[in-house]
Amino acid sequence: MIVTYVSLAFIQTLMNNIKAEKLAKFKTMAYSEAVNWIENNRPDFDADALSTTTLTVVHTGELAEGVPYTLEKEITLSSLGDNGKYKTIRVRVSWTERGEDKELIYATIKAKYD
Amino acid sequence: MIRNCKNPRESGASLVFALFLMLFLTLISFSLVMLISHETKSSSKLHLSQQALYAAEAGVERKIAQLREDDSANIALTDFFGAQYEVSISAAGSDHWAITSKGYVPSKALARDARAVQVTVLVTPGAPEHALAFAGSGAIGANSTIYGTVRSNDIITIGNNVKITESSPGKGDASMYTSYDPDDANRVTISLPSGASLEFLVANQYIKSRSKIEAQSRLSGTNLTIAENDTSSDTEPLDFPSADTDALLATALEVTPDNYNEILNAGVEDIPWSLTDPGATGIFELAGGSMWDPGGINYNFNRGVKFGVGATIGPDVGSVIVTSGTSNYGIEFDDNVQPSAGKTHIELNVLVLDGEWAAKDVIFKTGGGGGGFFLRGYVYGSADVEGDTNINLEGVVEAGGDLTLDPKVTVTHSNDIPMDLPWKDGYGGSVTIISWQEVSP
Repeated sequence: MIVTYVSLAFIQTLMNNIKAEKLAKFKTMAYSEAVNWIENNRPDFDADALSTTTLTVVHTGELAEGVPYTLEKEITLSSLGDNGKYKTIRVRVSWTERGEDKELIYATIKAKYD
Repeated sequence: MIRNCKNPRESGASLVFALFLMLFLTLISFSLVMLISHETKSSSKLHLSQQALYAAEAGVERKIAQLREDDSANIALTDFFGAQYEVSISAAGSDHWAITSKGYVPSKALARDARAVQVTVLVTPGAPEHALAFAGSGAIGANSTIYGTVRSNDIITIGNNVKITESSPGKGDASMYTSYDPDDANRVTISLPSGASLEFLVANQYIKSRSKIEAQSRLSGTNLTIAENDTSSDTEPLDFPSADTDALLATALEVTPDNYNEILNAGVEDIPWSLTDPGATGIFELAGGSMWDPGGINYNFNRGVKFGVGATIGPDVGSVIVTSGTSNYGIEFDDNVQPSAGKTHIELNVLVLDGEWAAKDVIFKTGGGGGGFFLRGYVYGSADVEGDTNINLEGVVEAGGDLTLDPKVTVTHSNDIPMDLPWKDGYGGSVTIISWQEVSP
């Protein structure tokens, strides 16, 4: 009887841990997708071609088999005057895991230097 | 009840086995919990740490944008997409600034992670933001168009059908300001006499004066703000010139009565440049119809300069600076001076910094002809500047005294000034990152 209870508790813990591990793994993968996109496109943030006023889908893919994700970006221009212009870059990676919506958002600013 | 055990040792062995099994499973479970917990925490930490770094970086970049607007104040704690940043800044030498920005997630008060970066930047002063500025009174002739902002420390008089518009689409720099604040409160500072009209071709512009603006019904523009008795920074008096003339002169080649043949004429006497008189009243004159290429050089003339009728200047850029002499004009462009073939504008900075000039420091003439005169550069006269009919100036035009623009003149603001002219502090130019390092928050 005791062994049965202990075994069930063990299995439950194991299941929870596997679930948490998967979540952490997907989060790390989403982090990599977002940060890589920001760093790879950093030299082009000044270009108007990248600008969008709302979140716009950049690409979609799979974090793992059966776990699709979407990477969206929003790059908006702000102006403090004739010279003081900067862009706010926001990147959102979203995915669905066991029917639950997950997302990671990163944001930063890039000023116009000349 | 007493249990019937035939072999008590057998029953004890099962208990010991069960206990060992429990211990074993508990240890495995504990290890797994620790392992997964560590992995989860690492993943979460990675995310928070990156968010904090991006927030700190956002603070630096916003401060750089502010520096380009001459704002060198600290930035207080600012919310930024689930994080916060705050920025402190201090001067780190001539035009150098040390910026320290700290990013917190989710907030400074409840920080789960924090990162900081320290950046040193060089802000090279840029061209002023006005198209036209003058310390004395200014007159803008009929049918003239100014592409950019107009600033004055004195009275501005407007002719008929004068227009102001932005220097490039979307720039929105089409306003007029004067700091003139006479003791007589009824004295007009922006004058629109009978027949005059001033139209702002871009919406949401300003016309501001520290005193009165005459005949406001002669002003027009969509959502135009007319502000009399304005005390904002927009109507602060300007210091002239905006160019760093000391730095400019340090790079200039001095032209004197003794060396002008070598410097300007390649050793040939008085062709194409001649000197009308070796005394102080002499003028260096580029012969009418001749060609001269400034060759990417800043020239410091110690006499007045005249460009003769129909002379051609170019194709290279340059600067003509006059620092002494006595005559009618410091620098005179006679009729029909033109750019070299293939160029739309003469690309030349024109500065009169000193000397005694009976008529004007700088004058651009066209003889009223329809062909016009086209020059791109920085124009400055320490006293008066005049532009004849059909003058087209692109860059920045400043007068330390009065400014007179005859009818049908255009002045267009541009940051693209020849010779990378050095500017004084006060105008945000380009930014160069000197160092960028992460520091302890």
